This record gives sequence, C-alpha cells and structure tokens, in this order.
Amino acid sequence: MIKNGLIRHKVMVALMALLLLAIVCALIVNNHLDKNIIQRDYFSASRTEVLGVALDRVGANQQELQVEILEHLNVLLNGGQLSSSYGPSWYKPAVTDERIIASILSVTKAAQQADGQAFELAYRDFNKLSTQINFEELRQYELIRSTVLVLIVLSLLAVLGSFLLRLWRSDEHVELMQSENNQILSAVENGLFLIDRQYRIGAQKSHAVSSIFGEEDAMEGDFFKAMSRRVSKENLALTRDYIDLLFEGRVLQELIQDVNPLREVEVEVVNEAGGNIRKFLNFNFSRNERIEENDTILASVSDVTNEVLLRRELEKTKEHQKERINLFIGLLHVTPEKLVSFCDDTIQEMRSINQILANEDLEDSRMRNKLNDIFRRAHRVKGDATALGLSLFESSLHRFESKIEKLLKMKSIDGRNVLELTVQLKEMVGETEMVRSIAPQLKALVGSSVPESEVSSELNDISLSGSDVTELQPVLAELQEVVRELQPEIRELQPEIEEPKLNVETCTNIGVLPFEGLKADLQNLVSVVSKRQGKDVQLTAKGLMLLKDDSDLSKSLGSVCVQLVRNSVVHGIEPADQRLENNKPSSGLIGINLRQTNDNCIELIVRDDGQGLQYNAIRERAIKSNLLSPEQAESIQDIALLKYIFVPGFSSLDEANLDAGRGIGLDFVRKEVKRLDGKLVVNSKAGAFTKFVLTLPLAA
Amino acid sequence: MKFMVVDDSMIIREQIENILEGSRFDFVGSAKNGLEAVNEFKLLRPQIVTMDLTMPRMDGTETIRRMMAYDESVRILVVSALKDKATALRALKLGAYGFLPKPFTTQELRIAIERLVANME
Repeated sequence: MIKNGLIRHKVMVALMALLLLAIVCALIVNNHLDKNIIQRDYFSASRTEVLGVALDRVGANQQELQVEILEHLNVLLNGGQLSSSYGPSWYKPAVTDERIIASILSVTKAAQQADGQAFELAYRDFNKLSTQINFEELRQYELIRSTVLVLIVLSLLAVLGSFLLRLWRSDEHVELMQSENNQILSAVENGLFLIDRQYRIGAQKSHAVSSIFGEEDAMEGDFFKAMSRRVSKENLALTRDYIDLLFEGRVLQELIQDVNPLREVEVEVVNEAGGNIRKFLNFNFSRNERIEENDTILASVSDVTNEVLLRRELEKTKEHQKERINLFIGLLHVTPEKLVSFCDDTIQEMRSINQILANEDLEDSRMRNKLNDIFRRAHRVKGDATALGLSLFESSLHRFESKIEKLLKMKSIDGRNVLELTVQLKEMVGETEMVRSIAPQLKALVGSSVPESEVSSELNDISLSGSDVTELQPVLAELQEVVRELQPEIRELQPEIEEPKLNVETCTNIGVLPFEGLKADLQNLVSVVSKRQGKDVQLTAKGLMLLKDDSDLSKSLGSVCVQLVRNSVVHGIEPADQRLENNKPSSGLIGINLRQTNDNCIELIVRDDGQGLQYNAIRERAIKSNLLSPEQAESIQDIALLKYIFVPGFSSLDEANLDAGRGIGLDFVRKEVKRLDGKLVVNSKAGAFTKFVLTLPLAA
Repeated sequence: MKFMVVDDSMIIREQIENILEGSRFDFVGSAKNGLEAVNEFKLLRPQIVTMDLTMPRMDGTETIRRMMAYDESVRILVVSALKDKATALRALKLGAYGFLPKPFTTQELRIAIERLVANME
C-alpha cells in the first residue's frame, strides 16, 4: 500500500526530499554564517580591545603596553588564542585580507616604534578598514542567506504547485470516473450492487435497482433486511447459505447457479401507480475471482416476469396440445364404424342447431325456448360422446352447454348474444367433419398390425376434408408422433376393440348407438362417470336386443337410457362410504330391463339401488328456482314434487360439471316420452331405490 | 484421473460412465447407494465423484459428509434432480463443489466435470 503510494507519487516525493535537503542545507549555511558573524563580532571586539588596551593603558608602563599591543596585533594577524574582557577566550584564525594585513602591519610598526601619533593614525585606518571589510563580508553573508531563503521558498512553492496540480488532475480524473461510473450504472438494465461479508449493500447501485423494485431506497443497508419483506424466511435462510458458500470460495460458482434460491423468485414490488404487484426477479450472485482478497459479492437483479409468464404460457399451450392429442388418441378406443356413425349424427344435430340459431327471432321468451331446445340437443349428443368415451367431443359440448347456460342467466337475450354459440358450433362441426374424414384411416391404423415404420406412411396418406382441417395438420403430425410412440400399447388394445362388422361406407346411416354396442357403451358410460364421481357402480342390462333396428324409437330409447343411467350414477347411487354406513354393499347397482309388453308396447325400466329421490333437496331447489314459495314447499306432498325434476334447468346440484347439474337430462326424457306418445312413471323409496318406468307404443 | 459414479439408477450410472470414460478420466467404479459408495470410495480412492442425492440406505448428503471426512481432497459433483434447494445447499456446504440438475445433456455433464477439475493438478 505504502510502496504503491510512493511509486504513484514519485515526483512529489522527490520534490519533498529536495525541499528537505534545501532546508537542511540552509540550516547548515546559516549556522556557518552565524559562526562567522560571531567571529567577526569577536574580531571587532578584539579590535576594540586593542584600542581599549591602548587607551586604558595611557600613562601606564609604555614598555608593557607596547608588548601587550604587539601581542594582540600578532594574534590578530597570525591567529591564536585570544582572551577578552568582552567574552570568553577564543581561537582567532589568521587574517587573509591583504588590506587588513597591510593595515595591521602598519599599526604594528607604529606600535613597535612607540610613535603614539602614528599608532593612532594607523589604528584609525585599521579600524576604518576592518569595519568596512566587516560590513562587506556581512553583506555577502546576508546575500547568501537571502539566496538560500529564496531557494527554499521557491522549492516550497514548487512542491505546493506540483501538489495542487496533482490534486487538480486527480480531481478531474475522479470526476471523469464518477461520471463514467454514473453513465454505466444508469445504462445497465440489471440492478447491480455489492454485498460485503457483513451482508451490507454497497453505496453504489445501478439505477435499475430502484426501477425494478419501484422504490428509491429498496436496497439499502443490510441485504437480508431489505429482502425480508419480499421473500419467505426459509428462502432467505437458504440465500444466506448460498452467499456464504460464495464467500467461502471453495465451490465452483458456475456449477451452483441452479441452486440459487433467488433464481426466478416471485416478489412483491411497487408498481408505477404506487400499488403492489408480483414480479418474477432473477438474482445472480458472483464473487470476483480476479481480486485476491475478495470481500464483496456482486449481486445483479433483473426482472424476468415476461420471460417466466411467456414460458408458462408456452408450457400451458404444450399441455393443451398434449391434451388434445390425448383426446384424439381417445378416438382410437372406438371402432371406426361407431365413430363414423357418431360423427354423422353429431353433424346432423349441429346442423339442426344451426338452423334454430339462424332463425331470426329476437323476442326474449322465444329465444329462451330456442336455447333450451338447443341445450337439450347438445346435451343428448354429449351423453352419447360420454358413452363412447369420446372426451374430445364431450369437453367441447360441455363448453357449448356452459355458454348456453350463461346466456340463459342473462336478463335479456338477443340475436347478438348467440353469435358466440354460432362460432363454436362451426368449430365443432369442422372438428367433427375432420374426425369423420379420418375415421376410416383410423381403422387402418388400429385394425391391422402395421410395423412401426409403416405407421407414418399410413398416416401420411390420410387425405383430409373440411374447412378447418388445415389448422389441425400440426395436431395430426404430433398425433403421428404419439401413435408411433404408443404403437406397443395400441397393439395391446387391439383385442379389446371389436372387429368391425359393417362396411364403413354403408354404416353412415345407422343410429348413433347401434344396438350391438349399446350395452357396452352404457357400461363404458357408467365406468367413466362413476370414476369421475368417485363412486363404484355396476350395470346390468336385459333386453337391449329389442333396439336392434335403427328405428327412431330405438335411437330415442338408446339416448333415454344414456340420460337415465347417467342420472342414476350422479344423483341416485351414493358414494361407497355412505353406502357402507347404511349397511348397503359398497358397489351400487343400476339395472336396465327392456321388454315388449302384450299390448304392443315397449317397456323400459331403469332402476338404481341408491338413495332414492331427495324430496327435501327438490323442495329447496324449487324454492330457489321460484317454482314454489317457502310456504307452498312446506305443505306440498312428496309425490307432487316429482313433476319438478322434469322441469328444464332444474337440478339439485349447484355447480354444473361434465356429468350433471344442468337439469336437462330428465327434461329430455320427458320430452322424448311425450313425443313418442308414451308414459313415464317414477317410483322411489328413500335410502333404497329410484325406478323410472317408460312405456312407449311400438309403431304400427 | 479416477472417477466414481454414485446413483441408484443403473441407467444414469451407465450414462455418466459412458460420457466421461475417455482419455482423461478413468472410471474406477460405481455404487447404487450411499453405504456402498462410502465403502467403494475407501477402496478405490477416486479423485472425482458424481453423487446422486436421493438414494436408498444412505442419502447423498450423508455420503458426502463421510467421504469428505475420509479424504477431503475429493471433488464431488452432485448430479441429482433439483427437488428442494435446501438439500442441494446442504450437500454443497458439506463439501460438494457443484450441482448439475437432472436431466442433463452430454455436453452439460462434460462442461461441469471440466470445470470441476480445472484447477486440480
């Protein structure tokens, strides 16, 4: 440190040394001069002495006087020890000045001759001369002294000047550095600051720090104190460990980035309006490995909210795509014939719905009726989709139902509101047409044991039709990928898939749920819905062969079965633990019995061994739906409540879900029975069973 | 330079071995749990160890502690799924030099190991 300083300020140090030397020299010179001056003084004193001796001794022994004077003069001339009454004795060097020598010699001569007059004259001359020389010498000494003084002052000035110049220059440098520093700190987008071993935040921070946190003094003082209200305690403790590891210096900092607890951390910061918002911030800590004794860690913080949200969005999209692929894979579980027939039926129903929507009828109540009608139709198709395990269609139709429901809840509905429905309807038709078009190829895909390498070429051959097909190309491409991956599983599934019995081309006109599959489809429905409901339900069915033909009655009964069975699983059968509590087997039972009666009617019985009709729930719902006043509900008999379960939109569930809660299933059943000129009887015992008996006349 | 792989998954063990086996590194052995790892470590004396954290019988952090107690010159790289940062930080505090999250690419593992041994000789 000191060494560095000496090197850096070498000019300064040299000047100072010079100055010191000059002062020492000056002191020596001064001392020397002082000595000389004193000697001069003694010289004058001895002069005076000589005279004094001469004057004092006037009248004294001339001989003695002469000797004494001569002695003095000898000492003056040649040097020697002198004692004086004016001071201590001292050694006087010999005189060197020619003039003085001459003068002393003449005084000596006069003294030797004992010529008082001549001596006085000579002595006066000597005195005058010595005074003059003395004066001259003194002036010389003063000149030297002044010169030295000037030199000292000059060197002092030089030192001072150089010092000031250096100071000025270094100030300029510091200012420049500061301004550059400022420019850098305001330009960097990251929040930068230093943290020392005591976790104190350094004085210099980039401007981004305050803009990231939305506060001027967000990062001041202790780092952990500043962070304490932003992240959790646990996270902060981990961060302390992390920073300690960095200070410790052993770990490789490039290899511990993933462990950084403040990586993409969600914190609360102040936004421009002064409110609080959540942001994702990325803290990065690094120690400077080029500085040996490193006492600080550079912290850099950046706002990565957009990146994180974008990534999440991408993940969501990916997830959604994956979901869609899975839905498409769901198609593989259904025989192509069934799929084709389902698609045809769906497309037909959607077109009917579209027609209903297209009829301009702005009157509110008629609009409501129309929507209820559409709802029933969509709900019926959804039931079929569930029965076939076609979750792709099931979820789309559920969304469609939700939209209708939202409309029905509105105070007034007009044509513009249903635009949304038309849009989704169009999408669904497109999708259904697409699935319809690839259905025959699906048969090729699942129906034969194609080697892995051939799968893609098979799929490439698929020619698509329909308006929205191009959009589905990427999905199909991914589907190919998935199918390739799933090839072993698909092969395993093959035995489960029924061998197609009908030619694809000829099966387009058959009903949605052809008889040979109705039982299996209903069983599938029970398995799917009961699983979703968290229940355990078994289904038995008798006489479904009666629906072998594809008559309107058969199709209708198939759909009615779907609605009633679903209704039983959702509303009738209790959850297993509740059943056990009531001393019932944990697994619920739904029985379907179809038979032809003697009076040329067909009778359908759907019975479940569930909890029976919940009259109190029906009462409450009837009050909520303004069908009954609380007083009426109190007095009404259970049996009279039955009619309400068939009211459109009446459901004992508060929230609609995929399976139930729309209150539309039984409405559909009632409408169908009415349309087919049949009878419907409901029978129920609390805690024991619910039974629906439909009697429909066979067409003549 | 001798290296050893500690991981309960055989696939990962072989993967790391295959990536690192080469002119510079000498695969000396592997272990499928912490207990086995410590015993093998004492026998084989590797300079580099890749360490999983979640393992049966003895977890990675305890294994690191015991290895460091036996020979603190060993360089341990944790190669594990980043389930919680607290465990990862504990492993580092106990003596590991770095952390490579699973799943990793060949390139990532190579770079990590190069960094690990950079100033060793």
